[in-house]
Amino acid sequence: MDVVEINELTKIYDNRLVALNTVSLKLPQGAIMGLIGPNGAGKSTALMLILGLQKPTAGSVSVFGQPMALSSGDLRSRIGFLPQSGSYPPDMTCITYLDQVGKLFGIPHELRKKRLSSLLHATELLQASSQRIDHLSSGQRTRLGIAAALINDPDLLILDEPTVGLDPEGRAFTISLISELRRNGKTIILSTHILPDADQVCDYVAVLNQGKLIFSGPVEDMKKIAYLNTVDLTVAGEGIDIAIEALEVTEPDTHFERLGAETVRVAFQQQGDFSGPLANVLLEFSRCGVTLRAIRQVGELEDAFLKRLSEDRLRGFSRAIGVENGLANLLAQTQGTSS
Amino acid sequence: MTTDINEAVREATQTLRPAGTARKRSIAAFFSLLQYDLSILWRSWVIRFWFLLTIIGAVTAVLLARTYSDQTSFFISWALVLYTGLGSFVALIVSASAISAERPFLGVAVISRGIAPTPYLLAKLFSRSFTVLGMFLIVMVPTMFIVRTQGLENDMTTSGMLLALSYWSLMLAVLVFLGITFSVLFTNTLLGVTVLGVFWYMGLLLLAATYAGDLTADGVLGGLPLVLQGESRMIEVSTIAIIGGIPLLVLPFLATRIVNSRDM
Repeated sequence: MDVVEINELTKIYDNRLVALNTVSLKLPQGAIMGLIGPNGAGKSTALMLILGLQKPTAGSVSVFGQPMALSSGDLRSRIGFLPQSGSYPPDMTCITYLDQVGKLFGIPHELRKKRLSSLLHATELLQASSQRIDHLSSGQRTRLGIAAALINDPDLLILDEPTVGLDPEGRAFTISLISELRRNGKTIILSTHILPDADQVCDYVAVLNQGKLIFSGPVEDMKKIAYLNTVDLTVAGEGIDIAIEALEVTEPDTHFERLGAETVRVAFQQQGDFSGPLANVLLEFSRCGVTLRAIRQVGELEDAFLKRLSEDRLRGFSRAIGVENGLANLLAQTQGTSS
Repeated sequence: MTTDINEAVREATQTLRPAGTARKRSIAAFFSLLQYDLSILWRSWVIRFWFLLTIIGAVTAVLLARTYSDQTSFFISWALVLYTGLGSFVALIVSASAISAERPFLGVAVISRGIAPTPYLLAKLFSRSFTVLGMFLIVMVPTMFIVRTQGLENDMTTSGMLLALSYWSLMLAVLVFLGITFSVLFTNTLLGVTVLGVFWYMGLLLLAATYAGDLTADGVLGGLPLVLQGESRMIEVSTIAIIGGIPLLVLPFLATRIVNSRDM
């Protein structure tokens, strides 16, 4: 069963701003979906619509097989949500806040206390449990938000930018927490623009740009979009340029690009196995006295994302040009007819 | 450290689900929101200050009643009119800011926690009405009974006093319900409070002008002293009950409809 099913979802604010444009998505049970896109792409709007906190202009959202609306409190009781800019009552302590959230979910007293203690431990907030929320660091607040999102033992967890503003340790902690939740079978939607985070934990990605869905599918499929047969070589030595010149003659189907003093991007024309040409390249570098320090496949999620984004922008531009040409042709035809 | 986290997360997420139906959860959420809102109101400086002011006013009224030569029903009528003039302002702020002030975080911090807007709205209606009426009755009931015993010329009956208190409670409840509805209608708190303030005080002035027996100070009190004297007719009581009861029945539905039609 799909936990979330979005059909041709459109959201237009005040008849002016198109925040989402006919987006369709499905999220299977137990999967983690990364909702990625630049700022203003429509990620938060999509999450608000999934939670039923906003009404779609067109299209529909189903969660756990039932239509989601503002009145669907019962459906929301199975969802845990970490908002991007968590608004916490500043005068509450961690423990009173989590207790309050537990009460809102209608969790019985005994169970609430047990959960509270486990979650404070899990999010390493035990020491800070009696501290006022306005005295917490941003990392601690994020962890408090995650604890609040987990207090109802949700079947679906929605995390809006959980790693933004965290130091590397806090980020690693949050990622490890999400990985652990995945192992516990939780279905998670993770909205982020920090792509390595999505790469680490997500099974699926949905890429939004200017309210449009420009990709949705498994992370591996997304990565295939980007430079499948391209590697970045980190090299050192005097003979880099000589080696490249020689290789351009012996390997005419291979494209070389200097990205920096020590990085050379090598793009092979050959699809599939390119171990042969790669071996030739490495041999030539070695012959010219160039030391190989690292090989990195250009096929990270970030590369794929950027490529997809640039393709989408180009398509948008082409469409605009097309429309302009079309209008010009139409105008010419009209003028021809009238004369 | 990672193992600890893993174990704790597993433990935290594998405990039993809360038992109970959707209705039970909804009722629990209602009481939780009610309790939370009451605690906010109890900590409010506006409420504390107003409560202190009314206690001082009540003590002053009791002291003045000993020297007031006219009938006590007129004295208490003036006290009620004064309470309406000033107390309405507090009730208006307390109710008209109830939801609009929370709007920036209402969706993500409250409604997203398994809450439907209806229990939230009902909790607001109950807590704000309870606070406004509670503050009124706690001060006015003892004041009226003490004034009756202390006044030089008592003409008030117990039934008349209870009826007057009921009228005033009904009026304040209507104001709170109106305020909550305005709070849903206007996302800007200041605008909501201002519009309701103009609407309410204009209404009070029109009411006073309509029911004033003559243009003397006591004439403006209309039939209120008679109510306190127990001279009310059944037809008047039922008319006021219906006029006051209709908004109490209609406004919650209207507010629920508005809140459900808007984005959080």
